[in-house]
Amino acid sequence: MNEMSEIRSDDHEAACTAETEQTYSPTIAGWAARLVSLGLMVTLISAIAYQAVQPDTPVRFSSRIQQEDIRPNGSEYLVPVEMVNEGSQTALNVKAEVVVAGRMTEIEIPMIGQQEAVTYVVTAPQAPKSVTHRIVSYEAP
Amino acid sequence: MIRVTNWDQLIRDGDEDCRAGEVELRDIARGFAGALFVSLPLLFTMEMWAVARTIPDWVLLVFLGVSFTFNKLYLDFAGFRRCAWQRSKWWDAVIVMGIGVITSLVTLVVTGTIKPGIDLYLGVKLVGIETMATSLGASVAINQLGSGDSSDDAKVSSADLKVLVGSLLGGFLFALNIAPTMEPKVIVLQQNWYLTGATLLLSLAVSYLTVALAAFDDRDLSKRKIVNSEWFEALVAYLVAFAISSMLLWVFGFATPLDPIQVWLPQAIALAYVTALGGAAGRLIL
Repeated sequence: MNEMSEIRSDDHEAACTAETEQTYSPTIAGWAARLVSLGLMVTLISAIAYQAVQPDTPVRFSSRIQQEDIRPNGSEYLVPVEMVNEGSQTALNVKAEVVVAGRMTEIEIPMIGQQEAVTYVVTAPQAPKSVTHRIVSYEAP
Repeated sequence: MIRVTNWDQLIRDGDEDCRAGEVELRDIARGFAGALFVSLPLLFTMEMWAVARTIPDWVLLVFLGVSFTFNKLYLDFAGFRRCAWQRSKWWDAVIVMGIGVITSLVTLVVTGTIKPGIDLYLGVKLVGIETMATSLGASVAINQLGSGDSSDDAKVSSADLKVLVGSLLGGFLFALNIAPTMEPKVIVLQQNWYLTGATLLLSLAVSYLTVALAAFDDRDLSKRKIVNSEWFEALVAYLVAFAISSMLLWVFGFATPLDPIQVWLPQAIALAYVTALGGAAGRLIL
């Protein structure tokens, strides 16, 4: 029994030295880690590669009012306006004018990526039904 | 044929015999700890979130490939296992990438950087860019947080090659914390060419001081055939640092050698100050 323990102990020490050829295969947990990691990386790389081969679309903005979040503020209304970049490129330092219930407000967006939405809250004299916007300038990607 | 080690198989882990399953879980836990310890600052860095929105897809793919290769090299010298009881470092490189993905995703979600309504593609790129750093942290976990490592000294037979590898790995690890930030660019805007030149000389001096002058460890240069003087080592290490800096500046969209020399050269020199110091640490550790 003691000899067996010594042999086992030697085996285990051998597994930890640089010179040994004896190594072990992964356990079930190790195989699970390998496969999950491989799956995650394949998914990540495939998603990026798929997007990379899609045609580029220029920066293009849409705007809409989040009607459900309009709330009164004294004699006026606070109106959340959502701006979405529907292009496939990022725009930097965006300057835009939004017109809500006849009132024009300037907004600035430091950075907005593809399909990203940014919400600004502007004041309006009455609860509006729609919004229009005009892009003044932005830094091209 | 797929071989599986029995969960109850006794494995040497440090000074004790433990069940293989427990050692496996412990190793993976070390990987997660290393990923967060090294890279949590970058997960909290706004410039990294911004880079995810601007980095070209193919650059991100290339750099993920570079990260995978670097991770394999880091695993050769450090790793997340206290004892090298599994042979395949390439599979371990896959595992640290997976650890990096999970660590990045969880942290970005809980910090609100990835929100429920975010565009899927943007979320993927955020995770991708952060995975470069978190996977690197997992692959040096033992070196950063523990004692011992699963390195195999026999792998680097050439003493000259150790200089290159140490400079490469240490420089990359250290510079990755600074490269995504605006600060090197801001520094360059504050400098004139005299200060840029002084930065270059300082980088060489710091590299020489850290490795040769400070004598943290005994060094035997007689085994080397090419890089066999301290000053030449500092020069070679600086060139490696400069190359790494240029690559990182390209990846993070600040400058490439195709830009006017007045644009990219000062930035590369500024960042190389950081990279050179990291390379010095890498050569000390190796």
